[in-house]
Amino acid sequence: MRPPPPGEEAFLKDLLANQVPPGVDDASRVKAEFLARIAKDQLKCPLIGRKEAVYLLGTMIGGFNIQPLIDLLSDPNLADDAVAALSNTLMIYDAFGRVVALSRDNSFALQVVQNWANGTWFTSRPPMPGEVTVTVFKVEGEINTDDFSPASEAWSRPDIPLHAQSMLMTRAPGSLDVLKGLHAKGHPIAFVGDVVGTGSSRKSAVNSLLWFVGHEIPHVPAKRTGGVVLGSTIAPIFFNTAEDSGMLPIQCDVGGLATGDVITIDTAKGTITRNGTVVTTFTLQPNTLGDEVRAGGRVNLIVGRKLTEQARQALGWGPTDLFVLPDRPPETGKGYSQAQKIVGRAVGKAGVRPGEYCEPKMTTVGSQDTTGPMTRDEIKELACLGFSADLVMQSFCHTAAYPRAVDIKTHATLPDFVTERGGISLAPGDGVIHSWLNRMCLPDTVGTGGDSHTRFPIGISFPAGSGLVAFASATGAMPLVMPESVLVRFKGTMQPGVTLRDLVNAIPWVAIQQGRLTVAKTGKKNMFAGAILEIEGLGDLKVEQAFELADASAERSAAACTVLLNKEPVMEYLRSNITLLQNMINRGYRSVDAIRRRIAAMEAWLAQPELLTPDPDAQYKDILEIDLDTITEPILACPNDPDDVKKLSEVAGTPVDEVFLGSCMTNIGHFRAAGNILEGHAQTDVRLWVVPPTRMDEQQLKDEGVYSIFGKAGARTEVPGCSLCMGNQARVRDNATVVSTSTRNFDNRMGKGAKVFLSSAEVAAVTSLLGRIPTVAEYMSAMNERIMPKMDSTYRYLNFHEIPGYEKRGVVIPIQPT
Amino acid sequence: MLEAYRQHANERKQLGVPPLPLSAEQTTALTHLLCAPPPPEKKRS
Repeated sequence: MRPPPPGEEAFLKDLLANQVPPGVDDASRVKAEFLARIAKDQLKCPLIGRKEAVYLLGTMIGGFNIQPLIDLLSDPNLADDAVAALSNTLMIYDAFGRVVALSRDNSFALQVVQNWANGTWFTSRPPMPGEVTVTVFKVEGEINTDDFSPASEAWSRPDIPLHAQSMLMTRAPGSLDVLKGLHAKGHPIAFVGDVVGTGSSRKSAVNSLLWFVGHEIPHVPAKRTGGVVLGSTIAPIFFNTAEDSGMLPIQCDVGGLATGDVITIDTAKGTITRNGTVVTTFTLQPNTLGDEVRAGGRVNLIVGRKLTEQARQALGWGPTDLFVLPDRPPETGKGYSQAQKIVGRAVGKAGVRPGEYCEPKMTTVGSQDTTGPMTRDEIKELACLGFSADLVMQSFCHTAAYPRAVDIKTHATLPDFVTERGGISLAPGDGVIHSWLNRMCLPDTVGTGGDSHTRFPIGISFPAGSGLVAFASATGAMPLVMPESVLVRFKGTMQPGVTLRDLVNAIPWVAIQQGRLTVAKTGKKNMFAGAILEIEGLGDLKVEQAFELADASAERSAAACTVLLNKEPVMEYLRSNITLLQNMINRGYRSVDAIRRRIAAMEAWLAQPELLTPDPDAQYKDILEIDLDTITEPILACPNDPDDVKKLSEVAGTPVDEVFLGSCMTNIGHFRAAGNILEGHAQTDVRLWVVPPTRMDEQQLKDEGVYSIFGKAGARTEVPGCSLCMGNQARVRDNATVVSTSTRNFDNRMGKGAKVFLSSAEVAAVTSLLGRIPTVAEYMSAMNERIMPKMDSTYRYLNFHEIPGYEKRGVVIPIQPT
Repeated sequence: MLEAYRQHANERKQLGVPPLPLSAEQTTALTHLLCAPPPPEKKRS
């Protein structure tokens, strides 16, 4: 054996100890396997002894280091070291069961479980300091996440230190030099701003900030933690991401602070002093913040608390008082709403109250392809080798039609990453995440997804950013402060010619009539903002229809949505979905276990179909009643604001250049209806786009001859997927006026300068024939002639269980090698 | 591997940032340097 290069020993050891990313990166696998072989005496390394190898394995957070450390509990010479290493490791996941099993006849394993139960991972860390002295770096006004992490520099986001150099480059050029100069004062820097972290929920914003105000993490390269951020207002998602990363975010009046001030933050008294004088005061929120900082971040705290709780249960110990319990809203003794009961079930209770902190079980998690690569990175950091969430699905709907080189790489690598961890991967061209994920949902369960439209028609979904989606997938739970609920109750009878999309738009329409929603951005009123929309009064809707209502709750800025449905449509939907899932297995989709598990769970529900319903005395923040008798004509959202809804008669006659039929807001019924209206007509003058949400819809429409109608109408059809809706693929022409069935009509989303109306497929189809928005009479005449006589055959949904032999459809039988 | 790494570290220093974390390939090379080199029969298949 040759000795290592002379003079380089310390450098080499430092590289191994500190420069390999922990978690489940490919490099960490190499490191863990190397150290495991040394520790198990299968490899002699002159520079690293066996004990030191065990110690270094204990710094790797989780993943590939876990099994070797468990093995070493049975090695009398190293078991003590393995105990120390495992006791402070939190990302244990299902290895927990293996350690507990071993602890029955291995006293070292028992020690590990006891240490977990005693929370030594927590108590061995210093508590949050009572006083922190920092130097202020202040940026005046509002600093949004694009100021922290410019979109133009998105390419460098995975390289945290490099990307951090672009922080504030457009917002406050030259200010980074000022910041770096402040280090000369000898204190850590606190970032201070009036309004901090508004805008999209990008973790890279916090990463960049931490690079300048945080401290290094031993054994973790190119990433920092700790640090202080002060803001008069800190945006909620930014606040959460800061908490997750181990920062101390404090909301307080920062008016009296200026760059260069050396201030002392007293976390116990809630004061900030400069030269002994109190400048401002604050209350630490949430009340668990001190524990979060001590644990090295909210993620560590949640995972660690759960580990401690599990260990105590395994040992038969009672609950611990080690951690601060989250504040609880006062118990009202009143009943629960549908959403409160669904989330309650996911935490093993009858219900949860608004404002209550909880960690609901994640039954169904979705990830799409634009946030998927970020979620993948976060999953690696969580040292996750197998998902704890029962079903995690990855789609490729946002980039399937016109992929860039980087998308092709994602298409090639992400499916294996997901299926190796027990998730289900779709293929590019299969269709939109939501249209698929909905078909995997279980009634009265909770989920999430990395896309603001991940909203379930049965059960409930709380859409989230990539970090929380990774957390939910890996741990099978998600931190949630239960939002308040707003009840939307439909009553009366749906009028002829009115479609479900018109009811979607009736929600803001009625709210505007009642002065509870305003369209103007300044001083905006929105009764739905941040709340859970609970929709009642349309119990006979098919589940595919119910999704249209749930989906659009995103446009109301609601946190989530429930739709109260009768049992029958849910049973029909699940029967259909079982057949689809069986077809997926036969077509070779993976992971088969996940699909089988979900089929079994659906069958179990169908054997005893019960749905949670709201209590009669459930409490709502607000109630909106919509009388269906008063909705007598279509309602459209007008350019360019989903809240700016108007009746058809108010916008009739507007010339239109392009029409889009597609997105997750559509289902097969919409395309048949459009086909009925377009049938027999020559090519439309407007550019007509037709994109069904899934390949199943596309196939069925082709089988029925509907596609040939689209062809004769001159429609441009595309691969099933998001198409024009997201604005990142094909786009409408600059400054075009568009009538679209898609989700939202933000400025420049579908096309540069485009003016977009959002309407039903029926209004959109009639518009495409006229080249302008129809009058109510024109619309009603088309509906009376073309739709009303065949309502039942038009609005028929994909009941796969009623299609003979569907399980085997599309199965490719490989040629056997001879 | 060491020479290439030092050069990379220098380039990154010019940008004011630390070197990138080690890749799987670099980590493998590092483990070889640390024990320079493991006997062939101990290599993973």
